[in-house]
Amino acid sequence: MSKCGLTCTLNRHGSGLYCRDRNHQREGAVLYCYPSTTSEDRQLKQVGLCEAIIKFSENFSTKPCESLHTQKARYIFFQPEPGYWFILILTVPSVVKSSQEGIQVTDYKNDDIQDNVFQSCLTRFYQRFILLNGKLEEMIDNKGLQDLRDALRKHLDKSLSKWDPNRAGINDIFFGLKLLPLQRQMFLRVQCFVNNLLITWGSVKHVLVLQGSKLIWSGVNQRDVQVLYDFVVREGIPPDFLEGGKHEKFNGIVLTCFSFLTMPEVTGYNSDTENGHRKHCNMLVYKEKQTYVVMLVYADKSDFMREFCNKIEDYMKQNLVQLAKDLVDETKHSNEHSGGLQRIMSSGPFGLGSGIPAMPTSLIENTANNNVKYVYFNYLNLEEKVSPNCFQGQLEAYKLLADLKDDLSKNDDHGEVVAKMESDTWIVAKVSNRREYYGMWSNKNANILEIDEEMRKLTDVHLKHIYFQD
Amino acid sequence: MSNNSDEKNPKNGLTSSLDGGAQNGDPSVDNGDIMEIPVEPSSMDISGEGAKMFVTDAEEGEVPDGPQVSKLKFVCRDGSQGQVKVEKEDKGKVQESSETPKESGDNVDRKAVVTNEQDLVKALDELSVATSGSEDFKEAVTSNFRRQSMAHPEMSDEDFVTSSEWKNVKRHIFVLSEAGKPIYSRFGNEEQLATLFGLMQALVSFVQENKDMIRSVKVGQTNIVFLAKTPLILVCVSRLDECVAQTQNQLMYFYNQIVSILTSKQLFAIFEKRKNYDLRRLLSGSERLLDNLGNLVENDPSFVLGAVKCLPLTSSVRETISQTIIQNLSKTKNVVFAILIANNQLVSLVRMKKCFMHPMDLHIILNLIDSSESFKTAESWTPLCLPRFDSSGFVHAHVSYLADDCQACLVLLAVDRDSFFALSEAKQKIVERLRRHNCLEAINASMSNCWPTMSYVNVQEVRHFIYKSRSIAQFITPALDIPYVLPGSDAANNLSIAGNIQGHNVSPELQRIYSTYFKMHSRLHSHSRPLKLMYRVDDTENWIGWLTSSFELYVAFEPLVTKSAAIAAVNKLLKWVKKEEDRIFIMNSPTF
Repeated sequence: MSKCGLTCTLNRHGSGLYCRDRNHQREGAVLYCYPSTTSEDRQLKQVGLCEAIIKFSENFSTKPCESLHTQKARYIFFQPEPGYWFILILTVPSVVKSSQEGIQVTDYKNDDIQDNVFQSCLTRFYQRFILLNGKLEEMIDNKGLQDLRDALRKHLDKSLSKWDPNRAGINDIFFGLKLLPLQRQMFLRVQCFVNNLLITWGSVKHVLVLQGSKLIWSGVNQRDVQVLYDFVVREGIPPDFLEGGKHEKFNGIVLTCFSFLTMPEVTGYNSDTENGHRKHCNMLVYKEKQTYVVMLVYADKSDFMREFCNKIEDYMKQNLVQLAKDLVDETKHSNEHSGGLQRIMSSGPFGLGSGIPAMPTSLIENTANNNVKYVYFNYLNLEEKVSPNCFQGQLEAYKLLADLKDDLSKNDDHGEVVAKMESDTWIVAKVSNRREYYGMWSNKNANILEIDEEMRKLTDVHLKHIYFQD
Repeated sequence: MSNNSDEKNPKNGLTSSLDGGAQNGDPSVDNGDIMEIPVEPSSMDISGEGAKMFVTDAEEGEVPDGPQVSKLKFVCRDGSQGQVKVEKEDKGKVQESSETPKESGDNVDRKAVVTNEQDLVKALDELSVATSGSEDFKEAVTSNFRRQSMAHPEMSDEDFVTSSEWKNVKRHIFVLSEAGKPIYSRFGNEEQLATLFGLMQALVSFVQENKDMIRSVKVGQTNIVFLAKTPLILVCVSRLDECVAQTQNQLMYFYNQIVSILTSKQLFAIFEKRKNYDLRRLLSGSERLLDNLGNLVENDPSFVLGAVKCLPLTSSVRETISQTIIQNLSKTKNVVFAILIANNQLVSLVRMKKCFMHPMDLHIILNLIDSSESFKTAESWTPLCLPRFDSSGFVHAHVSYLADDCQACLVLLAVDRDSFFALSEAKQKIVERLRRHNCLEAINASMSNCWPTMSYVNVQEVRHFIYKSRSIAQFITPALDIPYVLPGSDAANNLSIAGNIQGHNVSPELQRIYSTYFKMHSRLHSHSRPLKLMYRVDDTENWIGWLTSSFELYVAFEPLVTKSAAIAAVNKLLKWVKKEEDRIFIMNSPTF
């Protein structure tokens, strides 16, 4: 498997009504380019081509252009804000084959790059960027072009150097959360705690509660929670903390604070608008046992933090210690007795109301035989479950999942595909009621009925009570 | 210097003049010296002798065109208007060519040498600039207007391209030369779209400069697919959610269709000599072939499958037909293929030993028959290039319908251009013998009933299917039945649409079914991740796509069928196909 080369170009496309920055237009054409060693000539060529394609495509559709396929490269377009384009340029993997006469032919594997996967990747890069920096347009207005460029370089250089496009797949589309289901009683206590916290501290606007790396409660709206969760578990809390067990002595303190997050401004219940103004806020992470309380605080004064933290720590000591202890017991307990648990997820900024109906579930993981691999995602609560050995060594099958997802997304709400690959690997994809479930088997001699039966078993084991077979 | 016959009948020059030629009893007037393009003798491999290629009166309409237009070019460079005026009486056509170089042709030429991104962006800007002078165009446009009245003649270039009608077209097809000269657009007038063509050429050549090839652009549900095949560029803009590989395959048909009119040899020679050549002059009269092909590829699964459908006949009748053809033609020696076609379906194909008919070539022939009404009225003699068989030269097709009371079309492909009368005589004998053996009746019967219907196949769970036998590249699909046609709502008519694609108007239901089949087809034949089997459940049906070494099967089941019932039904269906094999397929391949 040859590696995908990667050029990520971020392009400022000044067009149409958007002319505020006309005087910057010439120098502002390319805001960011990765790798930075790309020659200016090459940058201009690629951006010129992209602009031409985007303009050309306007002749045939009112939708924004999504991708350009050439034999050797793939260009993925994403327009997050009017006039701004994120463009990802990937090199198509190729294999050189020799024909019988000894002539070498290069075979380009265009199908290996899936538009829907990389569209999602680009979206994540953008969301991550604005989480930490605010919208591009606002940045230009408030800080100027140079600052925007610096911020993009600082932020994206880091993200991209760590990113491996070859491993991108259906999980990048889902980008789901790991949830912790609780007994009803316990859940209500957590909710009670959160509500109390919000009422007591007016400046605390959003609260996330995690047990280890699993999410119990989120008060952030659905659109932002995935990227925030990802940030918290990857950078907000040091990874060795999340693995649990260790670092007991760090209990009862504010672990980290970030003072540069931006979130959509909360202006009441109707704050859930995509184009809403984003406001700066501070993030505090408080740790007690394995429970992490993530608070997003709107605050203007920078010196307020220390004092504020002390007060919050006091409050937490009084209110969280017992809860955290019980949560540890509860998780131990729930690992022993499955069933009757409650999966919680709120979607509104103030919790309540729009949550998911209680659904008991089992939580057995790592128990099924290792031949089976699965991915589950629920669009309603953004939960994702992936088998632990996720698709190692079976990249083709893994990629096929994204193909099948694309096929199924054209159905209304329900659908199923059972497919047998040339390698005799079986794939089952099911979509129902905004939940998606994919399973994979490598039984060579199975037939479609046996695989259907296997799928049934798998569902019973892993998704009892949360995904129903027909 | 202006030629009247040119204007009299520019639209269907090919057939009408051909028919005329045939009726005059002089089918092969050699006008070799009329063209500025060197027409070299093409060698036919099978005949052994270098059969001299000739330009039939098919191009008669074009005869004076060559010198005439080259003069016009000169005039334009001079900038003198007087000469152009002289041409005015030749309405449309001449005006069109005189306008071309001045209005948009120049732009196109300029864009042809786009070398860097600045030029490209400049070319973009010209999109709007170039249309500013289109006022003068109007008259030309109005008189020039042809095709499916898609465009509003009063619209300027830009208005037209930005109109919602334009954006709502399910599927555009564009053909242009590598220099950006418009050759064909399925909707709208090429002249009107000159700037768009220029842009497409610029994109293709810009990507080519990096030793790369543009394949497609995705915009929402719309796919813009490019096929750059020297010396042509073909572009399809489709909103039908097709996969790129299938669309490129269809564009390949368009390329082959053009080759079949000109031969690849001539096509290359033309553009070698003059990059800027306006190929429409050679293709005029053949637009209907491309138009018709555009409809067919959309509605007929044979193109995606790379297979043909056969007219169901009992094997004894088919045997008699092929024997009759062999008997009457074996003496003529130079017939390569004899093909009998009914309702766009194959009745019989007899070939010379060691010569094989590629399905792609067969589709070119089917398209020719399907799009030419004039064949019905007169026996015709037309040159035809079969791109897969021999793309460098012509074979000569004797085309005739069997009889007034039997609308099956017999196509005899010969290498000798003087064999018209011999073939005409042979055809009469063939018809006589077929009539004696009641074959015409059998063909008529099969043409008018829509066998097989699903109720005949009698596999309860199955609503519709396509079975393709891979070794013989033939497929069978049943006529559309309830629930896909409303009971009582002119069901017979609907049925005939399914069985006979000549209607060109596939019902939305059938289109939906095909679209799912094609989707499964693309997964089964995926380049990187091919599948062997695909079972699919959606809101309306259950589906199976199954690929084995010997067959390809696509089935639509009842929505509530269980998987085990579906499997049982597939087995039953396969048994049925096996049982009826002799009737629905041509199993043997008779030779002269």
